[in-house]
Amino acid sequence: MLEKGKISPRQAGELMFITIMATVILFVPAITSELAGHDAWIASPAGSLFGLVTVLLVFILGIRYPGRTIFQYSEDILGRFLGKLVALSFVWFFLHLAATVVRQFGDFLTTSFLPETPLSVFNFTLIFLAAIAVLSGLEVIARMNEFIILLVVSSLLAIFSLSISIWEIENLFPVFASGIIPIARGAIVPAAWHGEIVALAVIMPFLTRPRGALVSGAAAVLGSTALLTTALIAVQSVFGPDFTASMHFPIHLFVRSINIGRILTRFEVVIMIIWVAGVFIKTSVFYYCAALGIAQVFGLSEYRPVVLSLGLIIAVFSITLYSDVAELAHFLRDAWPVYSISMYSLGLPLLLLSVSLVRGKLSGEAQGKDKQDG
Amino acid sequence: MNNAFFALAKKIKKKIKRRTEESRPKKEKTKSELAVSDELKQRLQAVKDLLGESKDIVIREFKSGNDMVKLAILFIDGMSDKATISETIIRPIQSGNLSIKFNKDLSAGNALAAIEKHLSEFAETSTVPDLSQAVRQMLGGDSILLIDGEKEILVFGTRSWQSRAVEEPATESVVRGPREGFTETMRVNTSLLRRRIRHEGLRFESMKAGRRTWTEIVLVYIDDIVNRRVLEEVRRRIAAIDTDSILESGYIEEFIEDSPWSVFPQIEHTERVDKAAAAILEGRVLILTDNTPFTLIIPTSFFQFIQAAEDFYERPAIGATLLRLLRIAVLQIALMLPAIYVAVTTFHHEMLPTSLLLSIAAAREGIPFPAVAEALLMEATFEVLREAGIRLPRPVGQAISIVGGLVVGDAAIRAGLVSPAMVIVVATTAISSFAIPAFNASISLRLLRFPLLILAGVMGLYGLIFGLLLILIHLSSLQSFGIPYLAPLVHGTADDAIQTFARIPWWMSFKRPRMLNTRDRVRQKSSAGFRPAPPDERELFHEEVKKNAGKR
Amino acid sequence: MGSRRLPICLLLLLPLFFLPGCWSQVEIDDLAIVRAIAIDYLPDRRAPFLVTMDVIRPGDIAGGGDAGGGGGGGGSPTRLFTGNGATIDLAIQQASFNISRRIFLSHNELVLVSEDMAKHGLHSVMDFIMRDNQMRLTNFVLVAPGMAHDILAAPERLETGIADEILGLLAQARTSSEADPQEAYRMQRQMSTPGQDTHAPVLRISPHLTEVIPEFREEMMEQGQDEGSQESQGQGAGGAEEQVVPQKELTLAGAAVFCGDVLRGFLDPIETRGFLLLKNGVKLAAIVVPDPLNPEKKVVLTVSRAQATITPVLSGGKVSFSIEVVAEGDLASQRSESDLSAPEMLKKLGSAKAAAIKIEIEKALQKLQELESDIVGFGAILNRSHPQVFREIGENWPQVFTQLEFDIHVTAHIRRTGQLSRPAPINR
Repeated sequence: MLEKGKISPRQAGELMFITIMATVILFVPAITSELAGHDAWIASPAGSLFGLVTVLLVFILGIRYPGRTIFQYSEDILGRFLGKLVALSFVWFFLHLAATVVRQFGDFLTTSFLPETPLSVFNFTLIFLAAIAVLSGLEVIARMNEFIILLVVSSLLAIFSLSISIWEIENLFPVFASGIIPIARGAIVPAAWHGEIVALAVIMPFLTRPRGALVSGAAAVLGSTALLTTALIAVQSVFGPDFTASMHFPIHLFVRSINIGRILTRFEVVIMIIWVAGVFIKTSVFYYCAALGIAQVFGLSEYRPVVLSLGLIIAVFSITLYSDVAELAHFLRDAWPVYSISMYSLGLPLLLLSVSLVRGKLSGEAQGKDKQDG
Repeated sequence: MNNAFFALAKKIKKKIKRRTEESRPKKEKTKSELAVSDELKQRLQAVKDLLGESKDIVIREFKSGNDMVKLAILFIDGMSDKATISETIIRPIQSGNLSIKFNKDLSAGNALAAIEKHLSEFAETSTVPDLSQAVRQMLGGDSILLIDGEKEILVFGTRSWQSRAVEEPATESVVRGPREGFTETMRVNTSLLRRRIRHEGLRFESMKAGRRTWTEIVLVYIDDIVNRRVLEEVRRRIAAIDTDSILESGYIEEFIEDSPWSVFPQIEHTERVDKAAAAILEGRVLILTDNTPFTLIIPTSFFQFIQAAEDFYERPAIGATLLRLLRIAVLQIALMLPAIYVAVTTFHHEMLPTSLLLSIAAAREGIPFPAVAEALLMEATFEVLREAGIRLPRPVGQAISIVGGLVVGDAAIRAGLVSPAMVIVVATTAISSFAIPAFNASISLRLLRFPLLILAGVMGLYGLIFGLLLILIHLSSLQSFGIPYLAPLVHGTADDAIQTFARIPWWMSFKRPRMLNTRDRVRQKSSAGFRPAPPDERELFHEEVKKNAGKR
Repeated sequence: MGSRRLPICLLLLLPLFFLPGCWSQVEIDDLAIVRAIAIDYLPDRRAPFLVTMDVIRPGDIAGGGDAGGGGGGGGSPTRLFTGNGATIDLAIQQASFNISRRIFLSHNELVLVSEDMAKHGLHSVMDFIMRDNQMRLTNFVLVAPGMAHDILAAPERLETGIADEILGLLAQARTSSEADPQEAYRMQRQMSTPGQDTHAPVLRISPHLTEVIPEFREEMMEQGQDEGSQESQGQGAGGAEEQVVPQKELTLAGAAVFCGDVLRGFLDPIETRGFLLLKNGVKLAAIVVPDPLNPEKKVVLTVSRAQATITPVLSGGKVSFSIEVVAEGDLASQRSESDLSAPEMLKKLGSAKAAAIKIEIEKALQKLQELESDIVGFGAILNRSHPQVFREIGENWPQVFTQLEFDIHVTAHIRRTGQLSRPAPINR
């Protein structure tokens, strides 16, 4: 098959967790604070749980078409032409995501740490690393992730624990003061972000135990929700919602503000380290999905030849899609949530599932093809 | 001009051709000769032709006591025990006094049977049908007995040579634990292992490799524990070795490794017998190689680097576990400290606490080199010193390293060439790399330190992370005979992880590591109640009182 | 996809790293490490911002005796650089033309703001602190009456460098409870919270006691002549006859209160303490009350902990606040010699302390209402418990604040009396 590796459901869950969490924790607090104010820390868990819906959809589809990725069963469900169209749109989704993530990464590093270094250096080196990882296969990415997830989670927890002394919980209140609408608006962004777990649809056939995808996916969503909420509470209790909304990277400034006894301070470089690792995994995952997608849509026997060219495309897009940070922020806040939910995390999977169910009822077949070949 | 050149070339070509032709047919001829004849004279001549005129090959022709049978014994002086040969082989056959009955039986035609019957004193004998095989055995130290008229050849195991005594391995010394290390003699090594594992499942599978060295390679494992697939894979890979010589286990290591180009060793090696025995008992396969004390352990994982033999003999909770965690820290320091120092002092000054920054800034006033260059210079100097320290004869070595380290370093600081902080960094790194138990690890780390240093000097901590991620990608795709190199961190269970990173007490260690996929995982039964408990003191006291009460 | 291509790709990419040079690389000895910034505002100019930076000279700090030797042995290890510009960062940029190294702000920990600057509005200062990549949000912001520049120009007493001196003062301020150090992010958060105003501690140069107390002067002058040769103020020679100028002292006490980002006025140290009592920020405050047995003499009581609970009270469309304070403390010293060790005495002292505390708080609140600055955050408290009410009346909270009424109840306890239970008797 295109991918010979097998990963355990736990590894898949961890992969999804880092994929979502890598950028969520950096960008969402500011956006949600702006939209929901004091209620951001309620809006975000509410919205994040939408990810569970996506997990459910993806899981059911994956069970109905065992051994097939979403690119493959799109064809099974909708026929060759429409199916390939849908699959290609997913490929575009992952490509776009990868380019956006790389851009976010580069922006963060050039803003906060190494301002003189041009953006392209960060973007290219990251894509280079991701390319090597993708070429090495899904299993390698998953193994690296097991290592990285330990690092990321323990560092974040340590930082949050350390910072508790500067939290002032009063700043989180009042809640529900402005009604439900701001909460709803604030919830859409985390929802879209957690919708990225639709990547599970590409990975599910490679699990040693595909049925475990439900629990792993749910665990990933819940875990990342918990972390995001903690981050929001932490940031807002120190800075207050209005101040937070005016920052680009609240977590970064938050970590900068930790200063205990003048010794435990200057931790923001830790953020950089864990963030580079996390974004690396995230980029690799989306890059991998896009490469695999292209290989499956066009009937290639190997996805590896596509990787380099795809990398170039991602690199170029990451620089040209957004001309400045304002465009990026605007996109992330206004355009992307609706776009991604309506199309990819909810819309298309729902469409696929309903058509599949209808077809199943009509023709009496419940399962798609069994063979593993694409 | 050209013609002369061509003529010369032609002559040389002819000469070469002739030489090879000369050597080739001779071999073929003697090979076939060796197989056919049973006449003693012919066979002896064949052997002489084959082996040449080496002085250490002894051919002793003699007749049996009743002068009926002609025999010749061949052995290699220096590899065979001459006393044994003369006492137990030649004398009984030749001297009539000792075994008249034997000589009565002896006649042409049944010589072999007679000798076998009566020479039963000898502990190790066998027969080979083929002279080439016999010669092979002789080259290994056995002595062979050619009997005129008999096709089969007797082989006696008379191996004996000078070998090193069993001593403590130089590179793997411990504070507590046995001090026996393997030697270069295969038989000694196998006996060392047998003494430790007195189980019927212990197997020694012998294979030979190397066309000219015919080195004996022995696979050691416990039959009912070992992972069959790994064993099969090892056998296959060793059998596939077709090379001129195998002089050391390192050759084998390179031939059978999964990724020979990798910086990291995928096969563990050890000189210590207890470590080897422990590995076998865990379900691994041990490879013994003749003529080298270094044995190979398969499969292994990256975390071999943090385990030392005496961990298992000292107190578990505090000593070994903390020490292992310390070693992990030490590993990271040895790899990354210079890079981190350079990255932070050149790119990320905001990371340093103010007072530290000021001290470093003050120390670096007037240093001519940028931090990267300074670091590279110091590291390179240190590597040179280290290599020099290994090569120097022992009495001088200590003095030189002290001189090199202290005096030169100090002089460099005073001359304003390097800053004191850099010397401290380099020294700490060096000490850390010595603290790593496995020697091959320190080589890997030393090598990796330089690229990381350069990356850090170019892009700061981002460059360092870039390098580390590259290394991580490599480590994640590395395998050792089917076991992921990063197990048990990857694909592992919590149980395995605890056993690797910490050390649980022996009375808690119930199962063998799962990652090795052994057949029999149970080390001890959990309900055995092994947990040591001090006897109830009051009970003891009462016992004493009762006893003494009786006395009074 | 052969594995041979990959190493070639790697090789091709390798020069990418080395050729362009290392962009963000700065050697440590090329840094001008700024430890404190003073911002002055000179109105009616095109370039009103005057920024003074306190830059460390590392060579003076470390080697001391070793390499330093003669030269500036006793002088300050820091140098001041100033620049002015239309905004703060422009002013810094202008100063950079005079500095031989690259300005490095990541280790800056103090931002001193002059009174005029504060009156103009802290907005530009805050923007500078938060937007700049190197400035950390944990910088302390202090207000200086007069010119902030003069503070940085003052000589330090105990520490190396004026910045460390001020930081030390800030650390000690917690024990005196008469100033409340605030980090920049805290101030910004307070400024962006509706119903809350921000404050900053006040740092001033006060004349030495000898200037103020005449009896001192003559003695000091005599002493000064002896010390003149040891004081390394001037350049060595001829110090014997010079009058030694007593050093100015830096005092950190009091608070500057704002409404929005504009300075409204100052609280003196006692009023600041009253405010801190409400914010649970008191570590050690000394309250003087008359001795119950001997009212002409004074007894000093301490407050080691004060817990205040502020609750909004809504009655008849009007908002007032009820404040409950519980204070713990000890008996610190007596001028009188009466025996105050009995429990009733301690209780009496307690009520006296409570009364004194109440007065302090009232005074503080009164002053704050005068200045229209709600630094306690009554508005925010109201917003948290009754957001609807706050939305209605909070439009012009500073005005509403001035009309608020407070119902203050203080309970004070005296727990311990130090090492002595009663004054040791003296036979006369």
